Amino acid sequence: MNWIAWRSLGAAGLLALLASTFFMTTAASRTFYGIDHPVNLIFYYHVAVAWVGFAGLLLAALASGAYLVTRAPGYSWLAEACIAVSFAFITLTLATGSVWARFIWNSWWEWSDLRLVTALVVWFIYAAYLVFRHQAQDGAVHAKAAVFSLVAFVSVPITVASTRLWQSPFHGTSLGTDSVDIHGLAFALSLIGTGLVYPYLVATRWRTHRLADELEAIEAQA
Amino acid sequence: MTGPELVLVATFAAIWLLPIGLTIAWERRNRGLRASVERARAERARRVHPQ
Repeated sequence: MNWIAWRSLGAAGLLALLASTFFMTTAASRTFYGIDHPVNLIFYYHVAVAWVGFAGLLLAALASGAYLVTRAPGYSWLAEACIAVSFAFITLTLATGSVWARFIWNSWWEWSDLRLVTALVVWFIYAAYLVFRHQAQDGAVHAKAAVFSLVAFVSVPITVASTRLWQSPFHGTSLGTDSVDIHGLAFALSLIGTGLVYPYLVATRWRTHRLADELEAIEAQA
Repeated sequence: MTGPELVLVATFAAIWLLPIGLTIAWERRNRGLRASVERARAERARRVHPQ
């Protein structure tokens, strides 16, 4: 896939997000969990960036496993790129959720809620990964970072399933509940848009690794 | 526009600005790296085949 195609993917994603914004602000219900409030519309972005961000961490774990088996640097670059973009997406998830909570729960954060706390733990774990991964550009660090990524991924399904595994005092399940009247098209467009922007950002980050590697190889030959 | 609506607009703006900001920063970095690669290639070619 050439670079123009990747950029087209990103542009298509932004257009889908724009269309999603249009439908959610003009046609979607603002009543969630029995509360009529405009900030409920945050749901459409909050859930989409969370899902795509967490799915990206699965891809990162798979790429890390592939790196440990093959030692091909491309897999290590892919894992780092996925984690960097997912980290940004999870940051957005936490920030948008916190803004929503401020208006609906009258609280920016609830330490007693397992979904919030486990999501924050994921954020810290992957922040540590990024610090670790960037300490040096050599195979030994990349291999340890790959093991880190595989172990870190255990935190992701725990977070995703937390609202179903334990009784959550605040954060309910987002879908499959009658309390949330979702505008299907707005949500689908938001999910598609986020799902298109994500690979474009990963590809951009992956290209940075490839160019840096190419430069290092040329300089090593000189 | 009410307070919550302003917050909503600010949140939406943040959601849009983060990927756009990452795109600008990483594309700029890639352009710089690409230029460095081209320079390094030219330098190596000059050394291998001196005029």
